[in-house]
Amino acid sequence: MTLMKFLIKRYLFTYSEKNLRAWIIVLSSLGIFIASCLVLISLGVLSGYQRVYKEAILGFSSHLIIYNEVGLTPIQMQETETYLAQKENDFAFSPYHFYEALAPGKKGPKPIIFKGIDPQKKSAVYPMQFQNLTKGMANQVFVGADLIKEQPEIKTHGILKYLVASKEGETIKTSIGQVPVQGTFNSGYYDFDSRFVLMPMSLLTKLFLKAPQVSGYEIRLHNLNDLERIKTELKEKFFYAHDVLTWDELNESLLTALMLEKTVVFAIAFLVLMIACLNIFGFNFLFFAGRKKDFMILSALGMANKHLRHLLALMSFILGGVAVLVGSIVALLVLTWLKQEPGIPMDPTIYYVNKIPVFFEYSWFFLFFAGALILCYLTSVMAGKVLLKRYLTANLAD
Amino acid sequence: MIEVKKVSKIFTHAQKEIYALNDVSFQLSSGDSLAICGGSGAGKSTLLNLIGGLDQPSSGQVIINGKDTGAFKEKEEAQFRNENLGFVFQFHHLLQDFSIEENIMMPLLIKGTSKKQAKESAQTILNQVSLEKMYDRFPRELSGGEQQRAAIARAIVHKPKLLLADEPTGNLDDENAHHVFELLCELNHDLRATLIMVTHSQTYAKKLNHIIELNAGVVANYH
Repeated sequence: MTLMKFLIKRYLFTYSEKNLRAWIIVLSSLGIFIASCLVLISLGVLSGYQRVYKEAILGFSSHLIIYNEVGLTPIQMQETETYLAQKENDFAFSPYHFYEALAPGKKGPKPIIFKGIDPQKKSAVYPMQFQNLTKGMANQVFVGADLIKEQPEIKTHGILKYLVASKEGETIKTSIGQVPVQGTFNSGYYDFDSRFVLMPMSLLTKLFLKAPQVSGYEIRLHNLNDLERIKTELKEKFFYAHDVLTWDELNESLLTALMLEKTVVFAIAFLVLMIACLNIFGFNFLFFAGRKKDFMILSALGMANKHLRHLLALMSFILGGVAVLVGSIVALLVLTWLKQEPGIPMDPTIYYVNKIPVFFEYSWFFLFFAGALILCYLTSVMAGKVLLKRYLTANLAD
Repeated sequence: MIEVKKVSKIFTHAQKEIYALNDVSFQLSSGDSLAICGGSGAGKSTLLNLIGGLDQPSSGQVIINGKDTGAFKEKEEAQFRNENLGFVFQFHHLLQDFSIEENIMMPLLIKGTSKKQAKESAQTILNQVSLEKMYDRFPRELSGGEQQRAAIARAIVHKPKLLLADEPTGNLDDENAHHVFELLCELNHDLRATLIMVTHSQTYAKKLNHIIELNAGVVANYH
């Protein structure tokens, strides 16, 4: 080991002259460094997206819904509520109903959705950030925080305006309706925060419906691991009348797209890392080409081919290891910076989030570092084997 | 005791077999000296490489102290070279990234000797070849003669039983060539190491115990 250390130290870290070898070492290491950074930052950002969307969906929409396409009859409502009430050790639930409308906005009318819920269950079923307005009225009407950007008077006067269409003979007339607002909610997902208004079922009925209507019930589990069990129980109980969907089934297209995006980007980034590791092959070949006489001399002095292979492998391993380590540290610093405010702002109307979201766990860095080191080592060993297959005396004559 | 038994070395070029060595046999006792002579392409360096285990014969055996070098496994072969052989090449082949002292320490470090001990041995040998003041110089900073003396020092630092020299004086002026040859003979005598030297010089060849003359891979004369 003393000899290996001695040789590696001299070959890798002593530059008595400016030569090609130094450039090859720098470029090979730079490739691995950039690839490592890229893999980890991509992973952090894509996981951030996935997490923001998941948290927003789960905050706003609950874990399970039990619903009927044409709405529930009063008898079905009673039956369902009685059953669900017996299961309150497993979950909290609230009836819901949607009513779509238009609201005046900065760039013309904008579709909004009024969602009727049970205000008593608001906190248990929708664990979002709720904030009362200074001029709000205690009527349990909460608008998405981003809707204020469209209607600033919500904040200043505590009033939400919406458009009401009414038919008079053959013509449809439009007038503006108003509803007092208590506060805002923030799910973190622009699509929800810019379009939805939560209000008690009784107020929804009074404002927009002729008679009470319930589309279904939203259920928030105390333990998400019970999802499949509860779903099965509910399906068995209400198979004749209702459908039961989980949160991921409800948002399948979004979650699938996110997963696909994450997988593709990660695969590309990993390929970049692989290519960078293959640089080690190039480094070894060029290094060997420049030092073949040294290898022949060391062999003639009694150094076994096995040790020469180790020498090549260790040098590549050190180069790869240092590059991966520095790449991981830089990626960690970049991700930490992105996580802090203000980060990199984004247009929420396009990306549904205000800034680049980031999520990471420190264990990733250790796992990645270990994985990349194994990759570096394997490519180095393979390169060493290929290079030293040629018998060394061939280099004596060169 | 060195025994070369019916050794042949065949290279294939353009689907033709070319005999670099053909049926070469001879014996040498311990402490003996031998000059290998012959024209260019006669197979001198090939024979030396086969004796030193740097290359494998196509047929035949090289037996050194009762051991068939062709039967060695990779690790045994390297260990055998490290412990028993010393090489001196025409172009010295010193490691350019290492100082003269480090070059000389190398066979001992490969053997597993501690750095401190290797350094002490190297200093002793440097005195012997009159390079004690050059210990921290790099090969490129030395003259041709000094480089060759350093290469000899490296070849003998681990006290080998067999010293193999491939035209060690071929690249030197007369004065340096003479000095290097005298040094090799001295070591052959003092260390009781067998010396096999490839040379074009009949003057030096005649000063050794035996001469083998090769012609197109075949032994033309041995005495």
